[in-house]
This record gives sequence, C-alpha cells and structure tokens, in this order.
Amino acid sequence: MTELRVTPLGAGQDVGRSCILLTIGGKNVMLDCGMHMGYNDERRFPDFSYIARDGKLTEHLDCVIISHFHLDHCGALPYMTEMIGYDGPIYMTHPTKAICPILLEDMRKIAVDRKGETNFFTSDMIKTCMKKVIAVNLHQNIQVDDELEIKAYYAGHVLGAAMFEVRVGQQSVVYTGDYNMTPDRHLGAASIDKCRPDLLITESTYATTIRDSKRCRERDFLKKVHDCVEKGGKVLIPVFALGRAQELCILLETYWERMNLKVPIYFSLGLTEKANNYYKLFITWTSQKIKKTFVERNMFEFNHIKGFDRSYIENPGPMVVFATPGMLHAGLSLQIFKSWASNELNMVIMPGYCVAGTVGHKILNGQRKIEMENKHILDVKLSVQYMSFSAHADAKGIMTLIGQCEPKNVMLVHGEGGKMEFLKTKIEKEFNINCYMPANGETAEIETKHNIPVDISLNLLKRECSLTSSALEPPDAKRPCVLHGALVMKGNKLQLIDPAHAFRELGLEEHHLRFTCTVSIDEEGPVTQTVDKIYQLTKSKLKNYPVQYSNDGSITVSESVLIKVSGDEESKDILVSWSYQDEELGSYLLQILRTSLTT
Amino acid sequence: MGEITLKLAEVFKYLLQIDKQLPDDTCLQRLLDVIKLNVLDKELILEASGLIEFLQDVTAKTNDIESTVLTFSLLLCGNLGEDEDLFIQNKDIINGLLQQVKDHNLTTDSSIGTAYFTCLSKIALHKMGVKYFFEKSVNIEFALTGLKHGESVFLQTAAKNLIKTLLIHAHHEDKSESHINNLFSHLITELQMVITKSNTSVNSNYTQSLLSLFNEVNTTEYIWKATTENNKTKLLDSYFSLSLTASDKVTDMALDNLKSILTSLDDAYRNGFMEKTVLKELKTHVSIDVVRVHKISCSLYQWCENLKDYVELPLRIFSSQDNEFTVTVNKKLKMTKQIFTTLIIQFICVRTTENYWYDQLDFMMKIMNVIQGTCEDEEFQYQNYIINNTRLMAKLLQCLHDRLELYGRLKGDYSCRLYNILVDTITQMQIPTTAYKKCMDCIVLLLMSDELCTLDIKRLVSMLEIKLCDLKWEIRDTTLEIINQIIIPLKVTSHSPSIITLCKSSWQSLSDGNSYVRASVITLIGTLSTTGDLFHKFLECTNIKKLDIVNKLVTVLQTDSEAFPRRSAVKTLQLLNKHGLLEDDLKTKIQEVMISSMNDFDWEVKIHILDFWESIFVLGTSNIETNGSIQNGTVPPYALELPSSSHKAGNSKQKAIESLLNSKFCEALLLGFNDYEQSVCEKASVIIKKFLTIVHDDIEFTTQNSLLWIKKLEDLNMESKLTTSDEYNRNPVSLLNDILATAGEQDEDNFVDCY
Repeated sequence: MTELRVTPLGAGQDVGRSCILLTIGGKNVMLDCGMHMGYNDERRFPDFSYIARDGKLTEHLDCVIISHFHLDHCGALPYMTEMIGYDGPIYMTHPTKAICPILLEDMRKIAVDRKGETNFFTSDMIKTCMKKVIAVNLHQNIQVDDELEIKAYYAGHVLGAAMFEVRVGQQSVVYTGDYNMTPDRHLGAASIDKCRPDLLITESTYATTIRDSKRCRERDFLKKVHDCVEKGGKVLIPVFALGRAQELCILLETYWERMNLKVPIYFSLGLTEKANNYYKLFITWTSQKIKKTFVERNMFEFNHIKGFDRSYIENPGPMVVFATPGMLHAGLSLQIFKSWASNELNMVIMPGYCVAGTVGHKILNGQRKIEMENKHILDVKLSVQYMSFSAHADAKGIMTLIGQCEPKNVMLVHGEGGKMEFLKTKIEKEFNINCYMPANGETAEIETKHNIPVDISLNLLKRECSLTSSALEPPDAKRPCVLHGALVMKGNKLQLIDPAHAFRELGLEEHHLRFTCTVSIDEEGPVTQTVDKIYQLTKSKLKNYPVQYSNDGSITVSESVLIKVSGDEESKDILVSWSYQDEELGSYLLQILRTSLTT
Repeated sequence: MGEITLKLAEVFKYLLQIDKQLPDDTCLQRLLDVIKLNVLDKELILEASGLIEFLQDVTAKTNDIESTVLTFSLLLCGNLGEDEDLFIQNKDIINGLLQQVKDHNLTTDSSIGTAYFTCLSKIALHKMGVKYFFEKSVNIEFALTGLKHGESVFLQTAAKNLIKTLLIHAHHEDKSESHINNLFSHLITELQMVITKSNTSVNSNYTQSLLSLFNEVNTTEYIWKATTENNKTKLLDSYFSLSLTASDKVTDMALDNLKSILTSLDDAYRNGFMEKTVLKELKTHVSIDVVRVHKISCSLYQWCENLKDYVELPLRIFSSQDNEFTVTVNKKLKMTKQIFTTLIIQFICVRTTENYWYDQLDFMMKIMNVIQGTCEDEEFQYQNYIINNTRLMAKLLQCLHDRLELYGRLKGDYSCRLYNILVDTITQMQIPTTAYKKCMDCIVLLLMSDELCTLDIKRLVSMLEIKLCDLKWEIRDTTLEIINQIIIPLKVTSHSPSIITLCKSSWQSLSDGNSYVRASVITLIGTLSTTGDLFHKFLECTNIKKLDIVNKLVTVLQTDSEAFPRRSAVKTLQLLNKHGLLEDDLKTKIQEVMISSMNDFDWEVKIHILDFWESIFVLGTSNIETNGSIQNGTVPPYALELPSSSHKAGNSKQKAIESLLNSKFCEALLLGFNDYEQSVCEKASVIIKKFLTIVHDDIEFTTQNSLLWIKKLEDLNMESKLTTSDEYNRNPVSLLNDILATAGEQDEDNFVDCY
C-alpha cells in the first residue's frame, strides 16, 4: 500500500478537540482523543461511530497515541475505552500518564457539576483507562506490532508533551500534537530528528502570527501584578492545576526574590501542590535551566508561595492568589472572584482559554454585570486582564520544524481554516511540497513513493564497483551507480547476489539466451574467401576487441559473438550469433556486416 | 420569557451581519439547543423572536451569509421541520432556504452539506415530510449524490441517514411503496456496481456507506418483508462477493450484513445459498486467499457444517492432520506469524454450539501452553510463531472471558485444567497489564462458578502475594481489585485462612507510593468489613485492632496528599460504622473527623462524607419507621441513647432525631450547603430536604437546641442550590448575551489558546 489516509474527527480546521485517524501501511492509528469543553452532552466527545459500527473500535484501530495531557487532546480517552469499549494499546509519555488522571478528574467534576454524573466517565473508569496506557520514553522505538513502530520526540508546550513518529515499513508520519519551538521558563523547545517523514501533521494554532517576545508578556504581567499590590489591591489568577500555573509561579517567585517583596502569594492547596510534585518528579522533562540549577535549588520548591486557606479570602491588605479552576466556572477561584469583584483596586488576570458559559468567558468579553445564582447581579469593578502565555509554535516555529524534519508532505490541523490557508500557501511556496488542510470528516489521501531495500553482499558490491571505477577513484557516493546481480527473495527480505551464486543456492539450471541473425549476400568465390573478408572487416572496425578464427572456420569476437559463413560459389549466408551480455556488440557487428557486405 | 424574545431578535440581527466565524464554535450549537428548548413549542415567542424573518433574510441572501450562520440556519430549519405542525406552517420558508442552498451549489461545503441533509432527515420523520420528499424526487437523487460523492464522512453519513429515514418512515405515506421499492432497487444496483470497481478509496467509502445503510434498514421488518426475492438474492450475492474481494473493513461489514440476512432466511433458502454459492466459491478462492476463506468460513459456520474443514484449519495445522484444505494451504500459503495468529484468532472466535465450544477450549488451552512454552506435545511446524506471543495470549484471554461469562460453569475437569493454565500464565509470563487483568477475570469467573475444592487456591494466593509487590502499580492495583472480588466467594470455605493471609499482605500496601493502590487497599478493608466472621478472624490472625484500622484510615483521610485514598477512607469508615463494627468511642472519633474533613479540597471526599451522614440519618429513621422500634446492632450512635425497644415509633423517631440534632449532623450539612463546590451544595441540600420532610412529619421537639437547628435548616434557600449549574441551561439569556458580546474586537489569543 502506498497511500496514507488522514481523517480528522476533530481539529480539522478548528481548535475544538483533537482526534485524527491515520491509516498508514494498512494500520489504523488514532492520534489524540480529545474532548470539547464547550458542550455538556455527548457532543463533547468525538463520534466514534465513524470508525466502526457497534463500538468495535479494537478491531479497527491498531493503537491510540496521546500527545499530551490537555483535555482537548486526551479528554475523551476514558469514554472511548470504558464506555465505547476500545481495548487496544494506548501510548503516551510517562509524565502524561501521571498527570492525565488529574486533569480528567478535574473535568469530571465540571461535568458532574453541570449535569450530574450521567453519560460521563467515573473516577474508577479513569483509573481503569490509565491502567491500559503504555508509557513511553523519548526517542524510544516502540514496536506496537510486527509492523507498526512509534517514537516520541520532545515537544515543549507542557510537561510530557511529545511529537510522535509513526512508521510502518518505509512509510512514516510525524504528528506534532501541540508544540513550542521556543523554550520558556520551565520547558525546553521542541526538537526532532531529520527523519524525512512522508507526512508531517502539524498543529497550526498560530498559523498567521509571529508572536512577540515572551519576555515582553512576562514583563507586562509582572508590572501589572506589582502595580496592583503596591496600591493595596488583591490579584486573583485563576489557573488549571498544571501547566501555566507552574510557569507563572516560577516567574513570580523569581520576581519577588529579586524585588524583595513581602506581599503574600498563595496557591490553592490540593491539586496544585500535587502538580508541583509532578514537576519535581519529571525534572528531566523541564528546561535546561531548571535541570542545571536543580542540584543547587529545585525551582519548584517555592519560598514565597504558600498554601491558601479559604479563611484568607477576607484578609485585609494586598495578596496574590493562584486558584483553581482556570475558567472561573466554579470552585475556589469563583468564590474568591465573587468576594473581590466589587473592589476596583483588585485585579483578575486570566492566563488561559475560557469556554463559553463560564464567568471567565463573560468577563473576557467585557461583561461587567454578571448574573449569579438567585438572580443576584454581581457588579464587576475589579480590573480584568487577559495575558496569553500560550505555549504554541507560531508561524515561524512551524516553518522551522518543517525545515528540521524535511517532510515530503505537510498537513495542517488544530487551527482556523482561514489562517491555515495562508500558511498552506507559504509552505507550498517555500518548501515546494504539498500541504493539506482537511476539514473535520474529510479524508486526505497522500500518495507516497518508496524504494525497496535490498541487501547486497560486500564482495558483489566491490566487484561491481570496480567495473565502473578505478582503484584510485572510488565511485561517487552521491551519484546512482548501476549494479548487476540476481534479485532473490529470502524470507521477507530481498537480496542482490551474484547470479552464479543464485543458481547454486536456488538449485536452478542456467539457460543462455542468444540472438541469432542471418545476412544473405550474393558473392562469388569460396566460403573461405568470404570468411577472410569478414575477418579483416571486423578487425578493422573493432580494434579493441579480440577477433579470432576458430577451428571449424568460424570467427569469434569478444566472448560470445560468433560469425559462421555457409553457402556455395555464388551466394553466402552469414550467421551472426551473440549472447545477451554482448547485445550491444552483436547488434553493432550485424549492422556493419549488413552495410558493408550487402552494398 | 420576554427577555429571551428580545435578546433572540437582537442575536438574529447580529448573525445576519457577521462576516467571519464566531470565535467560539459551540455558541451556535448551544443556541440551537436554547431555541429548541425555549422557543419552538411556544408560539408567541416564536413569532416575536424574529426567527421566521431571520430565515427569510438568510434565504434572500444565501450567498452572502457567513457559512457557519448558513449551517446554523439549515439546522434551525431542521428543528422547525421536525414538528409536523410547524413544518406545515413554515413549509415555504424551509423549502425556500433548502432550494436556495441547492441552487447555489453550496452543499459542496461539507458543513453546509451535512446540515442540509440533517435538516431533510428531520423533516422526513413525519407523514407530511415524506410526502414533501416524494413530491420532489430530485431530493432523493441529491441525497444519493451526497452519499456517493460527499467528500466528508459527516456529509456522507448525513446523506445516508436521510435515505435511511426515508426508507424507514416511508410507510407513513400511502403512495410511497413504489418509491421505496425503486429506491431500494437503486441502492442494490449501486452496491452491485461498486463491487465491480472497488479498488479506489472513494468507492471504498461509498461501499461502506451503502453497507452501513443496508445494515440499518434491513433490521426494519416492513422493509425486509417488502423486499422482493430477486432483491434479496442480489443482496446476498453482493455481500458475499464483497466479503471475497474487498478490504478488511468492508469485508467485516459485508459479513455482518450477510449474517444478519442469513438469520432471517428460512432453512431451505439459506441451505441453498450455502451449497450453491458459498461452498462453490470458497473452493475456488482457497488457492487465492486462504486467510479470507478461513475468515468467511468461521463467520458462516453456524449455518453450514460443510465448512468444517476450512474452519478447523488451525486445529489441523496444530495437530499435523492433513486434509485437502491443509494440503492446498501448504502449497499456496506462505505462512507467517501474523497469518497464523489471525487463523487461530478467527477459529477461537467462531460461535456455534456449547459442545463445539469445548473443542475450541481444548485448542485454546493447548495454544496457551505453547505460548508459555509448557506444551508437552511434540513440536509442531509453526511453534515459533506463537511462543511468547503476548498479543495472541491477550486475544485468547478476551475470548475465553467472553465464553466463560456466556456459558457459565464448565463440565468435567475443564475448570481445574483451565484454572491451572491460567495460574501458570500469570506466574510465568510477563504479560501486559490488560492481559493480566483479563486472565485474573477469567480466574475469578472460574472461582465464582466452580466447586472451589477442586482448585488449588493456595497456589493462586501465593502468586497474588508476589503480584502485590510487582514493580508496576497497574499490576499491584489490579491484584488488589481481584482480591477484593474473591473475598466474598472464598469467605465461607476452607480457604478463609488463605484469604486472611492475602488481606494481611494487602494491608502492608497501605503505604504504597501510588495513590490508586492505597485507595484499593482501603476499599479492600471496606469489603472485608462486610464479611462478618472473616473480618474478625482477620483481626485475630493479624493481631490488628479495630482501633488501629480506624486510626490508619483517619490518618489517610487527614494527611494523604491524593484524593483517591481519602475518598476510599471515608467510604470504608462508613462501612465499618454501618456494619456495627465500631464501639462508641470510635464512632465519636469518626464523627469528629467527618466534620473536620468537610474542609477537604476534593469535592468527592466531601460528597462521601455527606453520604456518611446521610446513611446515619436514613439508617436510624428507617429502622424506626419500618419496625416501630429500634433494632439492636444496626442502630446509629444517637439512637443508643434511646430508651428500650418497646418505645413506639413516633416517640422513638423524635428522640432519634433530637439525638441526631445534638450530634455533628447538622453542622456537617451546613458546611456542605455553604461549600464552594456546586455538587457538594446540591448533595447537602438534598439531604437537608429529606431530613426536613421527616422532621415536619408530626414531631414536636422539646429542646431549645433542636428547635434552633431546625430553624437554621428551614431558613436555607435550597432551591438555589438544586438547579443545574450549567450556565446556559440555567439562564438561556446568558448565552444570547455572550453571542452579542462577541461583536466587539477580539484578541485572537483569547479564543485559540486552549488551556
């Protein structure tokens, strides 16, 4: 099979939930299995009935690969395994496997809050699902079955995020998941080998953007926080337990240290404390700087950031609080927000995405009067700031990655259609390769061409090389070189071997192919006279070839060309015969005889 | 309602103006939900909202409307047309928009195309809708084109659903029979056509859509009855033909369809088909594709015993018994590991009679022995292909589990033999976690269904003890879950000492580094506490006191950094309390912990704590209500203070509730009610409501404290906590405001920055 088929069930010209079906070398692989947080019914999950009827997913999928722990990439996994019934292998990195359940539990809480625990996975299902996951290391070749192989590469973005190379035989595809080509305070930049895949499926969140320096955003963030607390205000930063929370903590901790600030910084206990432990546990997945300084000081052990207690909400004076959840839809962050919203000295900084229907979404849209329970209207007087610390590659980063791994084709996913169009044109122009951007449900078919690997014995290789080059000048490695040999299938492998060897090994009898042609001429005189004439002619025309008389009166040229003359006094038949190897010489000689003797 | 109407009109106006997609792609879907729920069945709102004018405007300038808004409009038409009355009222508007979309060829956009067919499918659900279709036969042709040439699987599925809906609901319309027969015949012709040129991928998709469509409509009795004999034969031939030639996925679908038809055929017809077509064709195909012939044979074996030679191919290879088929196989087939594994899996998945299952089971056991390298028989040709083949082992175990569940207890010494092989498997092989779980599940099924005296339980127990120390947390946790499952079947047997040994080893895992494992240990203790004597024996043999257990659980609840063990701790404490295993001082201690832990950061811990309090109150009051007096042994602590059991219900209830009010019960409920987690508030409110219902039932309280607490609870506004917290369900206007708010300038980061 020389065709790759890719069908996004999610992330095709949108950023809702990633779920991409890949068919490579007859194997079916699901890349990510995300959920859409904007829905509170079955629409939040990909529609798996497009893969197989009756939930027989295991029969149709060879494996599932999860790129990182964000819910738009892994949120539907327990639903798929425990409620639909997929029972095959699932791969993700070690940190992703460790952190995924926390995020899934977080989401479960939101789902239960919204609708009760109906049609949603339970805590036990999350555990059972995670038990089925096979954790992988970076750069480790994982053999899914006899033919399918996967390999993970560092992707930055969040702790444990990975790009995956999927390989079947000679066909290969790289799926990036979300990635970041510039290092940040706690994670390194994505990197990949020059693996030249047939297809690179890349996210394109910032397809048209060259993002400003993260340093500027960080400076801006610190300034806003500092100004607010200096004026006696309180700063609320709603965050999810893992990811940006840790980056911002490092940022504030360093700043507080440098500026010698005494204003308390709090972190809502529970989830986040545990999350920091994961960063400590997987320190090798963090940035170079954190790894280097780890011996002297663990960056995730904060001096200025303390655990938060609900009773601190009404404490007088300035403070900075990181509280979960990040969209202000429920829980502690919402409780603090309600309490602080009416004071214009206070500030809320939203560092991430908020789905529609959450208080976070409303205040980001500029709503200043928000209806809470009991028709109570909350007057939002505090300052609302949005600061993106998103760790996605921008257009420049995407182009860099393409340059790094040199794919034969590119596919854009996880982005907006309009912006993808722009990047697609740019990629096609700059790299002269095809770029695809299928919408959800559309299938992109990509033809791939492949060489067939053949083993060759060293002796044969040396001998053949010596025929086309001299000892002083070895053959040019960059130019194609013609080799002669017998192609033999041994087991599942092809071998090019010496023909004589092949005959012996295969127990075959050698047959010789000879070309024979007769030229008739009207020439008087004995046959020997004509033979002499031909001998002289051949000698003069083929000076570099050995031309000899044989005992039976025929002439031999080189190894296999034979000229035999028969006839009477008036007419002669000249039979020219040559083997396949001397085809060129034989044909040439025939032509000479025809033109010289018949005219 | 007035507010919705006004806002909706504004939103419709706004949607007509936008020239780029709304930043949040779920907004319009949620808007459809809101309209369906709040507008369509309310005539006044429907009129005042401007919905109809909106659709008219969209129709008037279809080409200029933003594509997501057009998609939304079509889906809105679908919701409108789903109701027969609304369809009749608005037929012109709906038809107008559909016509415009079609005329301007806008269905080439997969979202619009999908919405177009979805809209039509909804209309086709009622009599008037079906009539509308058959008035315009062009719609059907269009659906067939969508099914055949749609570039998106979503569009193809929507087109398929439309045709399916038409076929299934056509009998609503009196004159539809000829239309249906024509349509059905047309589809069969299409299926026959794709068979002849099924190598291109477009055709593969189309073939799958057609097969899926037939699969769904064939189960509709009236369609099957109406299908002519000629068409039935054509279908059978087409399915069989596809199963012989198509790709794996299509082959599976074709075989499924074939099987579903064969089930509904009479014996004579079916036998004729088997003899004349299946056997003949398979004989021809053996030399071309052995694996496929074997697969088809396995699928159809239940209807044709003459396929036995093909079906039992792996069995014959294994036992080196040649027949005509194996000779052909040896000649033609280059056996590989993958092929051999596939043949074995196909064979073990054959479902026929219970007797045949034992033949398969014999074979499975042999193969399992070979996989583990413990086969005593002579070596056979392809042994190397299956030794240590964990993938095959996983599949065997899955199949075995399904069959054990289906057939229950095994005859003769099968249980014992199988049990030993399974225990060997987990002892000797490094199998993946999933296979380990399946293996253990099979063992549990055997334990549940068999006379335990025949099985070597000690060996299992020692193996489980080893597994409790496995390097992988997944294995340790699965082992604990299994122990939890086997406690009950083994408790009354002579094996109880073994179980106690296991529980003792499990108890050591309470300090495991993995939170799931710690939680499972605690759950295991909870289960053990329900076993009566076994629990006491456990305490005796291990020299552990109840106090130690309670202290450990309390420590976990108060100090464990992870929520799972804390949740389990609460549940187990509740079980200990419920089964009357605790003395008063321990009960009091637990109650205090259950109050302080209401500050836990995990919502579910708090929910379980509320469960604990609810169980105390429900248990106490229900005992009084059903029996008229309090039963000893099951009474909650507050009820122990009551006078003797001769007291009548009313009086006892009053005393019981007063005792409850004097305990920490109300305090816990109030903490729950004021919690910042919605689910916790909701749970607390439900319990308070239930409690107040009982309190209000003819009880006069005498103490000031009781009256004070009741007053406090009565004053709470519980309705506010009992509503769903989904913002848009609670307050639809909120969604409309959110959509209107997107009219301002947007920072792109805001909407693409997922997490």
